Amino acid sequence: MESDGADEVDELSPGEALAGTQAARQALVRRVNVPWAWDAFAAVATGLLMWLFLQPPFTWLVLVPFAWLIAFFWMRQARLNRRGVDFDGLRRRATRRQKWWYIGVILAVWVTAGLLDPVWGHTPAFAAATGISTLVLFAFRRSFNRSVLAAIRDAE
Amino acid sequence: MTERRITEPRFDTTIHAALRLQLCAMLAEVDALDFSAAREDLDVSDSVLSKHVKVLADEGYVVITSRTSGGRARKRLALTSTGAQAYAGHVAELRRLIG
Repeated sequence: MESDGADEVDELSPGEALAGTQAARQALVRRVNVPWAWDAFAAVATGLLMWLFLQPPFTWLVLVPFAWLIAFFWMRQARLNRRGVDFDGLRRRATRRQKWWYIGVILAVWVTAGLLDPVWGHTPAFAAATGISTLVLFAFRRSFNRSVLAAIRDAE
Repeated sequence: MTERRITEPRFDTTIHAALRLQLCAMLAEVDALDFSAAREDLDVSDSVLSKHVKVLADEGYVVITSRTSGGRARKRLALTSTGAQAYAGHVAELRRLIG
């Protein structure tokens, strides 16, 4: 794919050079792996936030569709940002900056929930919210993964 | 990369060599890449890849780290922030040239 000389600069046209980068990313895509452990964590975390948002005076009937949308877009965006995306023999990308605020948000939700009400009193609502986010994940996991693969292939 | 920033187009002769450009394209998508994975995907020998990695490392574009996995030391490559900027600028320049 390449000459041995590291010092020489190839006479590549801009189009050829960009085509080369695309081919390299195509090769990289074959190594993409999205582990379930991360997705399970994402589902629970999403459920936690939804549970907080769905407290009274809102009603479940009105907000359940919105909860699905929130879960869908959040998880899709997380995937596009490569959160939870591992590569065969590599490390996942884009968790450098996001991971700390992400963990911080989850902790803040837990602390806030604990301060507002006894946590166990909300178990059914939390379970329902987590169930919704898990269903979203189950239903759209392939779609999310296709999105991230396309994002890597088409990256500039 | 999903994070988009306005990048100043700048042709970078260090990056423009085909193999180095492809390596940077891969590294731009991950935190770090095993040397062996890069070698397989780029379809080159250890020595050829090492030479190109050294060029990028000398320029401060790539860092090389080692880790032990299964009793074997494995080299890993990662793009530095300088390297990421240079790569983004170079790609922007290539796109500008294409029009």
